[in-house]
Amino acid sequence: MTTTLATARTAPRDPLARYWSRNRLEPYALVLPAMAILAIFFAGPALYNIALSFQQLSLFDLGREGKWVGFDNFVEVLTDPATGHALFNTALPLTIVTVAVRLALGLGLALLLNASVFRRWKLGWLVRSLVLIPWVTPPVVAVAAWKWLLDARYGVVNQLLVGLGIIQQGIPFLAKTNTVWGAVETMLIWRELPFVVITFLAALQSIPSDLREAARMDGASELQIQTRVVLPLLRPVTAVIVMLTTIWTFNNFVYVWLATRGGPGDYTQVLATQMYTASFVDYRMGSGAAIGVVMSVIMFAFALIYFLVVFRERDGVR
Amino acid sequence: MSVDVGTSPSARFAKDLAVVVIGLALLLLLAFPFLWVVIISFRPDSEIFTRTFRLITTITTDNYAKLLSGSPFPTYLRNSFFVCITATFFAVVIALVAAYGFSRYRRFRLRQVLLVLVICTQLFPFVILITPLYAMFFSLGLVNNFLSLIVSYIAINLPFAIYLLLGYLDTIPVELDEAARIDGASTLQVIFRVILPVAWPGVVTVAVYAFVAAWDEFLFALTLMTSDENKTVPVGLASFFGEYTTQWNLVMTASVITTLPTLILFMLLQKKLVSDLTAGSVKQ
Amino acid sequence: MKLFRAWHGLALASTVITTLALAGAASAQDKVQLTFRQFDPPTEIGGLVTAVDAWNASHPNIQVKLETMGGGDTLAQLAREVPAGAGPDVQQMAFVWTRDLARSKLVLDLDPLIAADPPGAGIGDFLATDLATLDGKIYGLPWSADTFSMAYRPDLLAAAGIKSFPDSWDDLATASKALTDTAKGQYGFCFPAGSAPDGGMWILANYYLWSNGKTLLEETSPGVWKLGVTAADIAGAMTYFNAYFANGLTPDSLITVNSWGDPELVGGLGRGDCAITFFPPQTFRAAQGQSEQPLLTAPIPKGSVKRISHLGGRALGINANTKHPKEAWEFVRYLVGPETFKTYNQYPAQKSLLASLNFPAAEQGYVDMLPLAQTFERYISSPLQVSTMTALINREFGAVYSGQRSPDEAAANVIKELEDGLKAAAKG
Repeated sequence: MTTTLATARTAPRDPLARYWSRNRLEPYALVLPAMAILAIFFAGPALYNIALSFQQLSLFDLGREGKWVGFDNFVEVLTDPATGHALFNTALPLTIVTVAVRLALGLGLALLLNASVFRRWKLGWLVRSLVLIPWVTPPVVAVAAWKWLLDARYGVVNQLLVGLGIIQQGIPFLAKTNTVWGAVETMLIWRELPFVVITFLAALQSIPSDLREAARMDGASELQIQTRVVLPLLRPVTAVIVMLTTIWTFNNFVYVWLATRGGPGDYTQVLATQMYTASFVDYRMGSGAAIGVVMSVIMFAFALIYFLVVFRERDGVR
Repeated sequence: MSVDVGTSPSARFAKDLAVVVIGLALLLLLAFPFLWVVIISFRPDSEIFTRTFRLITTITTDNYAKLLSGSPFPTYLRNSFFVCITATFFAVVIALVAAYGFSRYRRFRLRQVLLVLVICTQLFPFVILITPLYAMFFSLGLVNNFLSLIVSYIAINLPFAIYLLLGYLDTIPVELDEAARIDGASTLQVIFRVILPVAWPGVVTVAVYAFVAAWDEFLFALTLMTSDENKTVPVGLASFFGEYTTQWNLVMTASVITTLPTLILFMLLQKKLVSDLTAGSVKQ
Repeated sequence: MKLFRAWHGLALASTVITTLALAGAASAQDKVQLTFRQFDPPTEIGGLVTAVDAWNASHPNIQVKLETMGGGDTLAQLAREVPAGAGPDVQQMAFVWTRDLARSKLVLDLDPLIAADPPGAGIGDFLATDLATLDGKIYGLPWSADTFSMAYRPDLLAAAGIKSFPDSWDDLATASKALTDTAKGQYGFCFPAGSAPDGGMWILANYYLWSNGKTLLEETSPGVWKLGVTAADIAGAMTYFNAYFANGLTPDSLITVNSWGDPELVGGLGRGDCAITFFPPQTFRAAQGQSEQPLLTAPIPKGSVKRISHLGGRALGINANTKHPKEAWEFVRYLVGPETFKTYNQYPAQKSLLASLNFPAAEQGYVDMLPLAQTFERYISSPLQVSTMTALINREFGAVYSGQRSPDEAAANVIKELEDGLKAAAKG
């Protein structure tokens, strides 16, 4: 971290130190309302979920206590070959691929749209509104629209590809094992990209312009300004984006469910759809909860490692 | 991106134009699937499917007429706006205060623990959490009461709002606070009078995200609002998908009707955002 | 302290909101207010709304509020609501849900109500009461009934020189060959082949197996359940339906189509994409509405043993929590009465009403199939969940269509999972 801003911030490490020593309880007061709401809303249900994972209980008996079965549900889930398949699908095609692509496309688009010309020509609002379009489209409609666009006979994508002579006959993208993940990823990335773009854009726009000016005065080229000044300043936001999108996508259920229901066959089955199936198709709430706990543990490990590596380093607490 | 002192005005204009054209083209490509939904919403049932690419077929506004008169959709829209705006407002205010605490007080004892706990709330899948939450809200007498949905949407949005705002606040120099403190400002004054204007783009971004997340939320709305006059838009949309038939053109029309007001709201907000920005940051 | 004052303001604001909300919720109640929840889309229930309105007009002391909740979510919602003490007073249920809800006492035992005030022409007049019965007691009153029949474009069959509708599964395959014209984009037989846990392949696969004298599960002696199929039987069914894809008699895109109500199928007949498909009555009517050419129905093809379809439909249940079981029952009796079916466009689940119904000529296929239709009772009494079996069949058939597994591999999976399920049930 050698940027001007970072040095400026770390040098007199806590200008607030004196104020802070007089008001030791203030940070607690500041975070208390948020923490209270989160505790009320999440703590009980999360514990309930954990308790459920040790029981055998039908969907229809939710009001009662189930039969306590120890780790049976976990043994069953972890020895089921379908779990490995679903875990791989969740990790690689669903999460890693789409997070990486969103990050790359999102950053590129944000840098382009941050060009001062959009501001000078008073187009900023138009640009940001257009970016938002996929995001304000409800997922159920987004997936339905994409299913049409990708339809073998009636889909615009195939009609254009056939019209241009690239392919002879329409491809049923969602029906073929070699194209189905690409299709699902396209839908997910399309709808979720705006979050990344907008978040980067906001971060870019809160970078004080005198920083760039200063670099420019020092004779830095445009590319150097982007890579040496702008990108390092985006690190905190990038850290947050990667963590949030990873967790959200890993737990995401809607896109795969609406697009393929885990099919064709079980080709696109992910942990979230497996959990849904266990709970609401097989009516076995305990197994579903166990899958949920397994997912939570995996993401907890990810978040913890990520937190220790990214956030502590940033805080300089090493 | 820069004011290249050495280049001629015409060269600069050409470069600007290229950036704008490329940018807008990419955005139109991005918006195309939605534009397609708009086009379909103006088609009659029989022409939803065409074998060859046709942008425009018979144009009809029947779908809109069907949806806006004699359907509860306008009520759903009103409910959604009320719940989402209220929840967004409270979520952003509460999150901003908390994020300020986390950002400026880096060494209070529980900081790391609490930050990890905030993330932990994102780990559990909602399909399972919803059952105990339903029981909780029912015992409080809040089922079919907008308050339960508002509280839920505040809670759902807090974790990411805190984290994103933390990211933004960290980029704002502490010296700003210090200056205000010397002038005798209280903490809340610092947050809302000093930090908020500077962090405005970030705050708007978080607000937009919170709004969209609430606007699209389905499971809580379905579970907590069962009576027809309390329903929100996503639940209304889902009811068009039946076992025997799905009303595709109505689904498409409904989604245009639900998306456009949101877009227009954002456009107005964005315009405001731009003027604040130009005032604040482009002092070249 | 300023911080404190601001929180005070916030707290005050939220108190005001709470008070307002509570004030809105409380309202005077001198008359009985019932909630009736159904799950068909708003566009399909115009006739039902009329019937409920008519009830409210003539029963000022028992007002009924109609609630709609999408079909896929209703069951889970009930499972959340009823144990918490909530839920609608009267609930529309799929036939296959009743026993699950009854076993956990989420719906009321109707026997005392039936004894006091018999519905329609007596409970014996109702169809499919077997599905609604648990331990000799009735928990749901059958309301509407339906089955599937084949639906087709007579003009396309005539153009291909097919004189009469194919009578057996083999005839259907042969006819489909004659009806397929890829240049025109016309396919012989279209069906929902998707892998969704609730997809339509389950129905078709069972029709095929049943008509050939097989069944997934059977009770060989009371309480003893065995598989009624071999891996070869399942693989045979898979091979039969997969041949439609392999020979290009049905479009590959149907591998992703889960519901018979999908626009590819509903609109497919009208557009001439498909010459033949299969539908329940409501969907057939929707397809008629979208087709400029006339559509007809015909019986399901027969197999080596018989011709068969399944009897499905909806029942009405009363919430175990209701404070007004008498009034709810009165309303249920009204819903199954002839007045309701004058405006509610469904087949009534009562023999006498069905007999007096005037079926349109185009719906002859249903008239032919209704007497041959069998409920899923056999599966519902088994230790396995019908929804689990449905998911299994759809997934493994889908795996064959998409080329992930051979019919033999997929059939082996089906057999193994059914056997594992029976074993697990026998153990605990």
